[in-house]
Amino acid sequence: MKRLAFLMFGLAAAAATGPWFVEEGLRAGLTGIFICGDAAQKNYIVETLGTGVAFLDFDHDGLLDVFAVTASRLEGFPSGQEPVNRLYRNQGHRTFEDVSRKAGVAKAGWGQGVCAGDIDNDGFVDLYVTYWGQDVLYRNRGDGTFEDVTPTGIEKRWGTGCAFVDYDRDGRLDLMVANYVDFDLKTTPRPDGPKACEWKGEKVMCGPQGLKAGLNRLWHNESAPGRIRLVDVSKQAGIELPGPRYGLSVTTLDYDRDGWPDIYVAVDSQASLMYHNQRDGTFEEVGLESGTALSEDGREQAGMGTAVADYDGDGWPDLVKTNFIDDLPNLYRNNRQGSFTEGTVMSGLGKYFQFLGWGTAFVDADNDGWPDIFMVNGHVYPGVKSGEYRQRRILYRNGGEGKFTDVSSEAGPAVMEKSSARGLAVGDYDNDGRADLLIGNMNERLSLLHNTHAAGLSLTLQLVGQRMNRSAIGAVARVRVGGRTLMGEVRSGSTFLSQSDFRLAFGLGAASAVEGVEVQWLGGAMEKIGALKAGQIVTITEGKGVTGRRNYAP
Amino acid sequence: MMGLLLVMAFWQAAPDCGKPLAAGLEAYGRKDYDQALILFRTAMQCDPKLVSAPLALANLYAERGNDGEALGALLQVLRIDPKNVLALRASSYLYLKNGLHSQALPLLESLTMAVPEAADGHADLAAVYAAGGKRVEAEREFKRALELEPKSFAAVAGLGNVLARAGEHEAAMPLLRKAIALQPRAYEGHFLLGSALNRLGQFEEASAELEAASKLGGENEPQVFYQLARAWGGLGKATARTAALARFSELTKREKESVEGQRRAAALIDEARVQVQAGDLENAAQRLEMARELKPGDATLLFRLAGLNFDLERYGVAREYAQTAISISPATWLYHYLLGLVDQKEKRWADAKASLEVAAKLGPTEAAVFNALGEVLTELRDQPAAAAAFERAVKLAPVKQ
Repeated sequence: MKRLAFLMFGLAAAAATGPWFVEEGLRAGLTGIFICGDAAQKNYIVETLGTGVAFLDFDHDGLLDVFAVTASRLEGFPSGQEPVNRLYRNQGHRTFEDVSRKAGVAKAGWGQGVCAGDIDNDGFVDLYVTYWGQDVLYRNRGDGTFEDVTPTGIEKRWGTGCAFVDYDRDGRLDLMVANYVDFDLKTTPRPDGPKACEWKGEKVMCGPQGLKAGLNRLWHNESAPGRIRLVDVSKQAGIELPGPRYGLSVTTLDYDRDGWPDIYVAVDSQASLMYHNQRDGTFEEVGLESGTALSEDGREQAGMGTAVADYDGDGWPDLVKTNFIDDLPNLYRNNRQGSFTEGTVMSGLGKYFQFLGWGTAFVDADNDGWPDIFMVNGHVYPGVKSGEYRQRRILYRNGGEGKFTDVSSEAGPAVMEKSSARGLAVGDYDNDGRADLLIGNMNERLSLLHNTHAAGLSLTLQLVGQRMNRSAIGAVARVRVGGRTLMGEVRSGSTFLSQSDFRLAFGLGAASAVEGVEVQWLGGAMEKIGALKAGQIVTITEGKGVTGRRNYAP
Repeated sequence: MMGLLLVMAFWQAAPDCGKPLAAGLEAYGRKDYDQALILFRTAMQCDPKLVSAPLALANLYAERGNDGEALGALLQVLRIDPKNVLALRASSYLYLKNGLHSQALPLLESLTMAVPEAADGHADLAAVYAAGGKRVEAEREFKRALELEPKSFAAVAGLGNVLARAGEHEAAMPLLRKAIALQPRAYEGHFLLGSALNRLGQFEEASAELEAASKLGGENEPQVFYQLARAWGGLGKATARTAALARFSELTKREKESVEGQRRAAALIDEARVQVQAGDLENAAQRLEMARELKPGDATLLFRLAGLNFDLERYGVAREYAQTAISISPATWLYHYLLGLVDQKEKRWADAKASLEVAAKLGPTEAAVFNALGEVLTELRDQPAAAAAFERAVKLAPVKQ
């Protein structure tokens, strides 16, 4: 009966009316403008990447807060008027207050990305913010404020994507950071200069090709109580071995299901990287062998954002990656034998060449149990004739057999809205059991897409590590419902320079309960939980089973 | 292309300037290509509006693999006659051959407007659209080409590929199979069919097609081996997959090294330019030497090296570089002029005279050439000829009051 109800849900979803998402950033109080270079003219590549956004519960009140990164303008701002990163505390009732200064994170500079994780296992989520300049590690004091605990040795680079990951399963979160370009403003040509670069016959900013690429870094967490210590192990861990790359987003996943987290880095204009965890503190780069380095034609692409989910329901994590304009995204289906097959065209993602994609996420927007794909887009060159700078978003609905359909128009004006978007985070900020979306736009306010779709039921799991890291990053939950097993992994980083909610949301269609839950803790035991009703947020603590329940907000 | 261009070149020759053009064609006939290039250039100097000469010059450069010079000559034709079909066709071909799709696009658009009945023009235009992700336009142009020439391999294969990439395999597969039937020995058809079969998960047939592609001319195409690896992977043949990926990596690396070499050479040339401006000729020459190792066939670079060594009074080295530049691009007056100056410095008067006379023929409006020629003829005690050369120089560049 449950199975039938589950299968029938597709019809219910199709029958639902009204927009799926409604824009309510301004109403919610997300009023800050986030800057990245000049709005109308990009003279240097550093002005083009935009910035990341995050959904995280920094004050542990059960409501998702918002953190958003800003860069700056090359000509600077008058003293005291510099844009700063902002932390918006969720006050409930879908409104936020700006607590950036009070929390100690209102920092100016050329910020880029953000990732979260409880680096000191004190139960409060910490933040890493990447910069063109000096990255910053913020420790959450647990009293609503953060302290800058950036370890010595983190050099000034152009940090982009990052992710906390306990790669050696010692219970402490390590940190992977991608660095894009070894950028020198003085030696990089401008579009109005004698060595201007061209794109489709128009003079544009130069790069990344022709500029010196950055090096990915892996930091091993060797903190002691009261002291944060990160040690650069990039060389001995094999992270540097592929050489400099134009690295952008960082995503962690256990693609071969051996219980050891692997790392994927989307790389711009070069082959992307899949670091396979060799279980001895080192990684082997297997991008080409795994089939995730290149397009299905064997071409290098301009990899931007990445996301992971089991989109075809076979229990193995698959990958999606956004790319440059005139190209397609990649949908890499896991072959379950250590490699992937690209299925972009056959899955329905081969429709558009006119979008330049950035943040992307698997999100079950209609709670039918099949992860849909959301992508945000925007050109890097404002004002060029051959491409729109402001581009709409795309919501691809997963029809359930590995086939996606563009339902953006049906999903409403908030999805069809055009902006030059970059960062993207997924999270249920009003705890109503429907996934909402947070989007970072170039030189504009954030977009907050509130999910109003009257679709299926869902269950949200909040995992808490004990032996493993407290954020439970790397833990995998499997939920049995209607004859299927849905899978989710707690993850730091991902999408594009952004951080999504750690909680795992499972769309259940019409099923009012799940038959059982299994949690595979990173480096630990498998924990089995019995049936759970839909419509609630359930906390599962490593070794203790269910330790908290909370019904969704009405 | 060659035969047609030459015929056109001959028949379009203007009477006054037909002599050097005809002589050039004769030289071409007896395979004296350097002489032919010089004579074609002379004809161009004689009548700057004569399209036949630059067409012939482009043809000869293209035959010698010097696409840059060939394109230069073709663009000159298009400046004179923007709708010249031969030049449009040849220049777009050269741009496409060198992967410069955006430059080829306007030329192909003009070509299809000028000769709407040319199926290959539409097929090429479609290929450019396809490469730029303009699927609708690509389909339209491929279909137009097929209407005009139903057996056009490029159009059949191209349309099949565009449809396959869009996931329309029902329509694509018959076209891709038809392409192979049209040209069974062309690796491209087998490659495209194999790639489409990979996409469909039909790995057995895909591997057969891709193996055929690798044996029919695709043995140095990295993409063939990437697709082969996909097919082997799909069939669970891990060893074969690894071997195909290794071959792919090797070929890709080779391509990258070539591109990286060009980029590095350009950077070195830029550095040398800065050093010349700062008066540091020695270091500039060193940079150019390094660049030459990366771009050994670049006549401009060789000429710059010759010039720098001339300024550094290393005449033997300068001569060697100038001679090599001339062997690559024999119809450039500047190279002969520089060689003449080198010989003049070394008092090799007869050699200097010969070089400067060629320079004068190729650059009949260059006062400096005639002035140097006058000086050399004076040394050779040929006073009347020297006087004539000086007079010409003065006429070309009279001293301003």
